[in-house]
Amino acid sequence: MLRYRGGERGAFETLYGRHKDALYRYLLRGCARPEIAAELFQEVWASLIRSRERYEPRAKFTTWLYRLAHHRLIDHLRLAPRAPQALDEIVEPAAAEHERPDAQALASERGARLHAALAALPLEQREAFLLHEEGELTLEQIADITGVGRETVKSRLRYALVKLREALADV
Amino acid sequence: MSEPHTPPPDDHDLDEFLARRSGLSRAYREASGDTRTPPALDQAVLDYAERERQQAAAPGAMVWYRARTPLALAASLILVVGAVLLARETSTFPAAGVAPAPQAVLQKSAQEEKAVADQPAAAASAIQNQAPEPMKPVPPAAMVVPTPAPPPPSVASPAPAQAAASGSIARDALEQRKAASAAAPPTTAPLPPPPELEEPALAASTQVPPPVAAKAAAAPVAGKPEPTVIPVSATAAQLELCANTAPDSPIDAGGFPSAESWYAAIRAEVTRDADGARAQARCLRRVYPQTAPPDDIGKLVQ
Repeated sequence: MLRYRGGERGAFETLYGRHKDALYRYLLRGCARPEIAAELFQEVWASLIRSRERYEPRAKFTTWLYRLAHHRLIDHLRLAPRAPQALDEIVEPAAAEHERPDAQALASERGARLHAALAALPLEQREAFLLHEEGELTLEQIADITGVGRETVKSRLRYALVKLREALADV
Repeated sequence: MSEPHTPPPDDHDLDEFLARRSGLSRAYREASGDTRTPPALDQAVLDYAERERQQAAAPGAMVWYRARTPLALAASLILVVGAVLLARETSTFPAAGVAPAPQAVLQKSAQEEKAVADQPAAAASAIQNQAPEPMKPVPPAAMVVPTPAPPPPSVASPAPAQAAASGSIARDALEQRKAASAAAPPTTAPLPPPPELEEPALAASTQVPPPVAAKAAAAPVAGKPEPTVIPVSATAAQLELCANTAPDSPIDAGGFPSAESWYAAIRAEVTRDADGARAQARCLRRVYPQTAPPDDIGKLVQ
């Protein structure tokens, strides 16, 4: 990020290639809508690009990136709230063009059930799970991003794991 | 959080999950590993990043970006100041307390003097109808005279230029008075004689009027309004007193009109009543035996 701020042409491409897929998945699983996920994805990177002059390496870049993404996602969900969906109503987001047909062919029933159970989780638990799985963040970093204590994050993760295991129990 | 139908897992499962060694983590990665960013989305983000980088690298772009607020403020300030100055220059109402420029005062004084010289009738009527007003203060720069005049020795005997100026105006007014009094009856009410009128008026009768600049310079030095001569004739009682007094006996001038005013009254009356004018002239000769009357008045006495 510092190299990109200094005007190095290829620095951003390296940074982007390193984090783009995980961030996209975080947003996609967080809002469960590809078009919304794509919009939020662009907003996050545009915000990062515009604020590059203010970036200071006080924290890990991943923490900064997912903090931006977390705020965007929360803002979107607060503006467009929707009732929690029942497990059998969960529709797996349509795969992108480049994912067909391989991605669909490889998607097992276990994966579909896992995604459905993840979408059914409360927002806080889903956020904690995704920040750890996609962002590879620690409890402290998740707590910092979400603005809660470390033990709260642990509690949210415990409940999320229980619900996900239950959803996959009979598969 | 409202959870707790199922007991939370123990910390061993959580530690396995945090270490990314749990079966749930593996299942999630297998199910989501193939989900990648659409290429169109990648291209859009990379293009945006490149545009931003080029704009930031453009020469002067950052300088202009940082200086735009001060420049906008400075431009606004210049416009406001310019508008205020323009409004003040184009305003038809001058600001209160602002004195006219000295050059403008000099020009105005010269124009007023010229108007008096060119239109004596108007000046005389204005003098007759209005009370004398004090002279407006003139800035020192306006008091420029071609040749320095000596200071007046006293009020009773002013400098030649001053006397000429006041005498010229008095003579002009006197001539206008003659024309005006031809249509109006002479005033008979006695007025206190203005003592300062006699010598300037007599001096002016034999001198050429000074230039306008000299008059403009002399007026502020005098510090008084120009003397006016109001024709005043003697009353019937005063004429009777003159007729009944022995020729050798002096008559006290107190109560009689001043010589100058009396002259004016006699000149005005001579066209209407020659006998009355002669009686007035004879009485005047008795009251002011030491003063040589003008030729026209003297002829009436003879």
